[in-house]
Amino acid sequence: MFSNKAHKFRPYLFLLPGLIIVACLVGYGLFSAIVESLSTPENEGDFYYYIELWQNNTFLQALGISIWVAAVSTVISILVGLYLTRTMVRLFRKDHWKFLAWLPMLIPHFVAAYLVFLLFSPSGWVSSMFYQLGWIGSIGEFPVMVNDPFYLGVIFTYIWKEIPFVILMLLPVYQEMDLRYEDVSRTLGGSKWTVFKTVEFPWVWPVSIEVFLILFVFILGAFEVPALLGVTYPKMLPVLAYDWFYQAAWVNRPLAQAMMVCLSIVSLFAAILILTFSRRWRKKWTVRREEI
Amino acid sequence: MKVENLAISYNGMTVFSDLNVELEKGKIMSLVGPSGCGKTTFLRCISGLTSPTSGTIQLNGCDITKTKPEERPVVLMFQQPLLFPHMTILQNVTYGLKYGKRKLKKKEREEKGLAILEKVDLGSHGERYPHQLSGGQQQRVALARALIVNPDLLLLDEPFSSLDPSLRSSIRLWVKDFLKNEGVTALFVTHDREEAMIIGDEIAVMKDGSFQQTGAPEEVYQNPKSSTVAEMFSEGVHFEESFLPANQLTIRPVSNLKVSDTETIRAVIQYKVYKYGHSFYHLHVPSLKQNVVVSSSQLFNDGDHVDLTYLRSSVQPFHNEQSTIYFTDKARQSR
Ligand SMILES: Nc1ncnc2c1ncn2[C@@H]1O[C@H](COP(=O)(O)OP(=O)(O)OP(=O)(O)O)[C@@H](O)[C@H]1O
Ligand SMILES: [Mg+2]
Repeated sequence: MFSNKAHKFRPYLFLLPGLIIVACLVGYGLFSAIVESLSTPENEGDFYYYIELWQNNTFLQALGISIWVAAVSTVISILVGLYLTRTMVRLFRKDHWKFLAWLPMLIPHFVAAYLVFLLFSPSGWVSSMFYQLGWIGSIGEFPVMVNDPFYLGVIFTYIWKEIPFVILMLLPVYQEMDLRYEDVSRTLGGSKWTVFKTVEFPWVWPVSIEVFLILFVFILGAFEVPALLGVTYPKMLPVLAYDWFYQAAWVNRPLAQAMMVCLSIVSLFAAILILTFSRRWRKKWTVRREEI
Repeated sequence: MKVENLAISYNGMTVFSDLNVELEKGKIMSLVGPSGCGKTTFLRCISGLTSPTSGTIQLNGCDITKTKPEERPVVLMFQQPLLFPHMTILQNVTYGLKYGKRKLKKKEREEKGLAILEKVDLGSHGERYPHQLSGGQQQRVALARALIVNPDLLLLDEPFSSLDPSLRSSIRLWVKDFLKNEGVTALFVTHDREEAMIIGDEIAVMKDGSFQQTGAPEEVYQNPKSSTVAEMFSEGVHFEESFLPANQLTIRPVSNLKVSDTETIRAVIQYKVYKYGHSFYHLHVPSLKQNVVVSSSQLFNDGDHVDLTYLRSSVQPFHNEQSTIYFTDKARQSR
């Protein structure tokens, strides 16, 4: 009994130095942010900056565009990643093609954003090529896809950066799936779509939700891509926070801190959700798989 | 159903190279053969889940060799139950009526599902999940799931393998009745000779990637055409070129007495069982490396060395041409 317990805690012991450093740094940062955001100017009530924040139009616009970007990029990445994974798993028995998905993963987001800028900006390569080919009369006719108010450039960057992530997350799940259920479905009259709906989807959707939450929260809080490819108004949340933080006279600093605290809370909830979710799912399927 | 020159190989390894078989509409064929001889592969080819390397499959006069599995009027019941773990038993059973061509309304579907669950003795388990059922119960659900679809051709891969003997015998009779009433043509794989005879109108013995013999159960049983068939399906001993049915053998204590027209082989009693009110001796014949079961009212002990005697005329030479009927008559006359 005792040795069993000791075994269980040993890995955590090894992690302890790292955990302490992370906890101290993040904890201190978060702590000072909370303290600063909870401070109140004279003659104002509690949570002043939070109330201020949620009534601030610039913030609400930023929130809107952030959610739009995060939702669209995540959903498209997952759909495309899911499609590619299920095709690849059927095409190749082995996963030697996995390195193809690893390659884009190795490129930093900033570099990816810069590539998108080089390619799609009004004076970029694609635009020049179209002009050379005579498809557009002047470079100015090329649709604005970078630094545009709908953040298409940002969305595009995230999509091609996150698809490989989706694939690498879904691949092991697909490889573990029992493909014989596909045969059962087909012989009972199920089409390929029925197979997806009744065999694959129930199997992969918990992991897909996990991936969705991870990507969504990540994009919500990521700075470099919108900083490079975004527009001045509306800004995405992290860019706005940076702005407020370094503005002259530091007047908006507590607002920026309040925003970061809110984002942290959302991330925390997402993490808890992910953990409970995946644990419950794993328990359910392992029980059932053992018995069948 | 008609299969011609069917061949399949995996990565250069041939499973079978030239299968030919025909089955009349409404008939049931039992497929027996040693493990790994390609029975499951054969069924998968017919159901369309595996593509044959060459050859054609016809059903009701139509060539279905290239048809997608979901468009064939064929259903395969797998060796393993393979129930969908996230669906209830009722949802599992009605799967074939919910998707695809045989779609029914929800209410109709559930009525049918409950009725068939009742038939396989699982009427009260509709709301449960597969992991809450035993292996035998799961297999019955899988059986119900295949039967409910009522296809033109039903392929059953050892459907009763994990049922206990009493349930097995009641379920197989019910299945046979069901198939006959609905006029379903069926191919049925089993390892059990008795079961093959009970269910099949015809028997096909498969080995080394070909059908060794097909025919009515009694014909295959009494007149095996090769030593393989004799070993797989008949009871008796077989020599290089001939077969000797077990009922022609008599157990005698060892003696050197010679009776004209009779032959003797040495055997050792392994053990004795009682069945149907008689005693049966399981014997080993060392010279042929074969085992045989012979009934006798005389008393012998385990391990006794005995003589098995038989009339020389009761030995049936193997015939490789399709002339078993003629052969049967001849064998009878000579007795
Ligand atoms: N997907 C596959 N890849 C390679 N070889 C295979 C494959 N499926 C089956 N085989 C081979 O084909 C042969 C026939 O297999 P099959 O499953 O049809 O046998 P079976 O007669 O159903 O045996 P059993 O009675 O044990 O179920 C075996 O030797 C097996 O190794
Ligand atoms: Mg098999």
